Amino acid sequence: MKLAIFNGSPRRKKSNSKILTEQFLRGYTEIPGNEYSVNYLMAANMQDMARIYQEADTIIIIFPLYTDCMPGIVKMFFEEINSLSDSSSKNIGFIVQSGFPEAIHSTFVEKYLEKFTRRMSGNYLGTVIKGGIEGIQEVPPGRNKKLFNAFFKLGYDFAKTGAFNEQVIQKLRKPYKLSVWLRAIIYVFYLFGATNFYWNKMLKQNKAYNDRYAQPYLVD
Amino acid sequence: MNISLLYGNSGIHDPELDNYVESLEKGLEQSHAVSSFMLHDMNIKSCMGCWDCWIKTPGQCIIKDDAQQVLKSIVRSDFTLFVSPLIAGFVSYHIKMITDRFVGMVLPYITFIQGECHHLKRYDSYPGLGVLLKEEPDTDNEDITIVQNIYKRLVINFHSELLLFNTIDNTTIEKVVHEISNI
Repeated sequence: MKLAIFNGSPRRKKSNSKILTEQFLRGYTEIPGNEYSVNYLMAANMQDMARIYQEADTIIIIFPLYTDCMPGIVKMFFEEINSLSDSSSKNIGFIVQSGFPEAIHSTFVEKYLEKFTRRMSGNYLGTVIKGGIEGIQEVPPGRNKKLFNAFFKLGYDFAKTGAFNEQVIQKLRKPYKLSVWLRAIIYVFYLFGATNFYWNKMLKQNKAYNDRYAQPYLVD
Repeated sequence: MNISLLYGNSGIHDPELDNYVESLEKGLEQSHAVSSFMLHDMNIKSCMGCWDCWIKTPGQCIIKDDAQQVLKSIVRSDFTLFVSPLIAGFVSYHIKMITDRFVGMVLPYITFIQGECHHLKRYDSYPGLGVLLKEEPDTDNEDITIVQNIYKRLVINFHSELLLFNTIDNTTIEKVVHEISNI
């Protein structure tokens, strides 16, 4: 398999998408005989990216959910490869990660991704959706063990079968929506200021806490 | 009514759509104050995901480019209209790039809307949104539904409403102007 992974995060090498890719590749590289490349779309020459796309037989595009769909740079990439003639021999899969915990937010762009692959006559491998990714770089590594193991397994099975493991996809997709109980728990945390703690800590570090509600675009 | 019109024309010259937008602008200007932005001709950079607009310069994007004037216009508008060709089944990357920069318009704090996590308002009110698309040769109903559903999600996060969604092939300039004037 000649796999080209395209990282569509505007944060490039500092992105959570990169971390998930690394875990995926940790599993992928356990199986010998497959090639891979990791390519960053942010600030890339799209024609170079299209060339890499053309040379691969298997494509994975990973990106964070940006305003309910793909980041602008990923759309730019889609427009570039859309104009290429032959994707019919390509296997194309996607990984969409988001800050919000629920998978539902990413299911709308998922429909677009499936249609896009069909439009390109590619073989759709599916879309891995994982919420709750914001903050994974800020917690002790042990806290991410379950997540990292899931992506390791995803990569390992992908190298063996050329497909995303459906059971892992279903596990990662939880919660699809927050249950009433989970919402109640989060609300209790909110009452104790815990849910805003993460943002307020950074605002205070930046001496911006007093301006947190600023409305600058109403001011000339 | 204050209207912000964002035209996501692509690199491929499309005189039909250019003329359409020009006529639409003129039609809307009869009764409204219209600020039009030809996104393709503007210097609008990708969001960097730095979060300065949430945690360092709240509400203010630090990238000094033409997006600043677009964001100011949108926040002050009553209605924001996106006009775009469909390319590879979605709005142009120009529209997507500027939309990514909307993130500072909401707070980082989470609230529940319809039982889901969404961001709290930063401003007291937000403009209604409209989307006008030009179909591609292979556009079908599935494509239209996919795009419409994504915009229905966007308006939840931006405390707005999707007040207009159509293709230029499916309506006339007069009808669009009439529909917007009744908002």
